[in-house]
Amino acid sequence: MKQFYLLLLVAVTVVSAGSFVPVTHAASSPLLGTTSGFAVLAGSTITNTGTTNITGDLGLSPGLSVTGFPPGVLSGVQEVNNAVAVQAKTDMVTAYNNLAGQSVSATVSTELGGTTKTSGVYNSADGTFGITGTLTLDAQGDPDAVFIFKTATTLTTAGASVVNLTNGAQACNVYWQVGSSATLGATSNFKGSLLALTAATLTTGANVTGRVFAQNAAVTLDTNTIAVSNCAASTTTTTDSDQNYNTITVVKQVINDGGDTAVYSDFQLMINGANIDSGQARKLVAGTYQVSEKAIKSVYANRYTTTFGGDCDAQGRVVLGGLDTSSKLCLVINNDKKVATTPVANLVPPLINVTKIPEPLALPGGAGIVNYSYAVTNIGTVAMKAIMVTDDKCAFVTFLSGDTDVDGALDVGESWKYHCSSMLQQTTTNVVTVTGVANGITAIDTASATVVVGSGATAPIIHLVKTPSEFSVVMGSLVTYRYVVTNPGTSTIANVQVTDNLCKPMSTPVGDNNENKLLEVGEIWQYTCQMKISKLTTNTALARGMSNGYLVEDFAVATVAVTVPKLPNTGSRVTLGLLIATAVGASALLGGVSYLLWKKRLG
Amino acid sequence: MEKTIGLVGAVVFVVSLWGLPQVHAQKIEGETHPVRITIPQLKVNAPIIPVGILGSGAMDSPKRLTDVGWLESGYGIGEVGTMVLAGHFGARSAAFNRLSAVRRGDKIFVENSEGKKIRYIVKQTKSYAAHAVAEEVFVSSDDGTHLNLITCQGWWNPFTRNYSKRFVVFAELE
Repeated sequence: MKQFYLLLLVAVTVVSAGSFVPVTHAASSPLLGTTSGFAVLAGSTITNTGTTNITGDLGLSPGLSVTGFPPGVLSGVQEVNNAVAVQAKTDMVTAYNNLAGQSVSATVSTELGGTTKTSGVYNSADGTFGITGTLTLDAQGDPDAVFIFKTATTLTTAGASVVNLTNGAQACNVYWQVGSSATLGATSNFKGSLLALTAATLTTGANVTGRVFAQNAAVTLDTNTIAVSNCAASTTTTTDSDQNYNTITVVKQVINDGGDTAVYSDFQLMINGANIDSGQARKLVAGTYQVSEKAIKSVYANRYTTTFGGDCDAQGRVVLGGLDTSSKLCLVINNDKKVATTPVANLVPPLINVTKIPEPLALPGGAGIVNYSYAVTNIGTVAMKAIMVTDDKCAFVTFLSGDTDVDGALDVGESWKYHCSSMLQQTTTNVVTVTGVANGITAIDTASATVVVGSGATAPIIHLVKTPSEFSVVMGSLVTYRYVVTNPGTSTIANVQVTDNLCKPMSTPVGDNNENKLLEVGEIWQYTCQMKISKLTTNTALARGMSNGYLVEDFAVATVAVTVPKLPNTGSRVTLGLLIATAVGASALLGGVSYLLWKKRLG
Repeated sequence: MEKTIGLVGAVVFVVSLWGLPQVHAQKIEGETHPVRITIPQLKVNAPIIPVGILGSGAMDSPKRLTDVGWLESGYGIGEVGTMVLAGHFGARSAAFNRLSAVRRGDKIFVENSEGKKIRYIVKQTKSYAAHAVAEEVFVSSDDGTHLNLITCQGWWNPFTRNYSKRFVVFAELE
């Protein structure tokens, strides 16, 4: 738990240090190392009664006493206090600490029975967890959805209780970190890797698809079935581009150009009703998904209009899979309904850019640590505040340097450096999303990178930067967008395509110097597209390419504001000249009348 | 302030029309440039000419008193967004002299160069100071197809050759 608190402290420090805060609650599987083949692992003793059936290895260290086999049947290897068992125990401690250190996405009450949980890290409010009845774990179509339950003391499941997996949830992605001991009730049906600090007891007939680990004390069994669950190779080390890139990323935008006050966190994004974080790439099976949003503070529900952009249609629907195997980016734009009280001629939207490079680019020898470097730059014309950098699969993105004048604003020309480290067990594509705010408009950019684990291949990286010819134009002006595509990786990219969801047609590229139609490292390809802008317009460009069997993509989002005309002068009456003539005429008349009156009086 | 996303709005609008009873739905394909406006209740019948935006940032008005100006850089007939027309007021022959007599529910017909008439219905009217910021006159906050008519109102200042107010009619595709 010490490490947990330390990580919390680090997180809190980062939060208080500035606004560039990693806000991600994505649960990730711990590295199980050599424990992955073990069904049962204990510290002091392993005691069995009855015809227990274990599929997987059985390990004990530093204890020496394993009893009850037979009648128990072990379909695996028994490792008692040897080098293998010692290493497995060490790796088990590492995995336990990793679980304990993961940031909590929700603190919930003790009873899990009768509830449904989606992917996340769940903490017990009272320090204990129990299951009476059925706990349903819903992966929402994502086979990599990870569920982590953390309790400070005990886990106790009732007799006949069930952990039910739906919508692609897998037992290999379920983890239980128990601060003291766990007891599974008679004939209960339990799923996931159970890592208890002290002891684990399975009462008569309890079944586990997963693992039963007791770090310091005993594992006690009685007529149980325990089967190790490792995720299928096809999902853990997938190199199939279709499976790697069927993701939906939803990005939220809050525009306060009328002076309203809602902030980013006042709106909750959802896919098919399940909460998601802005910018977090969700890996989902093919199908049609509904993106939606709700205002967390009800006061904002009627003060903002919500429109969908990017790959989402006007109703927020997005289709994944089929012939089109690319990932999808949806924009959810919340624009305040307030009318500006002053002319918004100087309303200039910001433009932000992020590049992301993993080091190393591949882990051919298997699992290892990858360091991601991010460079966030201001490629617009106005300084931005509230810079947020989030990586969907790397929790602690830390700011390194770049705010040279220490004003907390990402000034034009500044490049802020960030860093994040992640232990990768399998080929991983993660997406970083950066946002910044200026003039009440949020700028967004994303960058993704794939690190191949366990193969010599290197995944390509593509980078797209999009800039409008002007950020603020008179209503109805033509704006030219320039798209610059580069290859920051090491492998040549083929089949490069650049599209924009609102601007068509896209020009042919300039910059393929050797005319081989391959985007080589060091080449800079430029495209242009022109469109008429009659209202505040946010459009999304996508650059795609293929290399080594991997599809790579990068999104670029730009906003252009319009200056709305002033009211026309439709007056059409007398001119000043006519008025003067009238005045002169009237004076003459008045003078004449006065003269006549005066003459008459004299007369 | 509200001025976002055009094309997605078009889809919303088309889809929402789909869900409405088809009896009143008007076909809005075809040429989007308006050439004539008629308001039967007010006996308004005037040709429309395109106008731009002046260097001062204001919408231009037509040179001839009898013409009505269409803000060409905005939206046209049947397009999701706001089509803005401006006509003169004051002189005897001015196109929009009687505009302030318009009532909620009155019909406005705008014809394109192919002779097709599109029907709009008056929703509300509003007065603005001559130099007011009136973004909602030019930019809509929803996905509707709007028509806004602008003319002058109030006191004539012969020195600035300008009326003190603007009168705006907000109409929508019926």
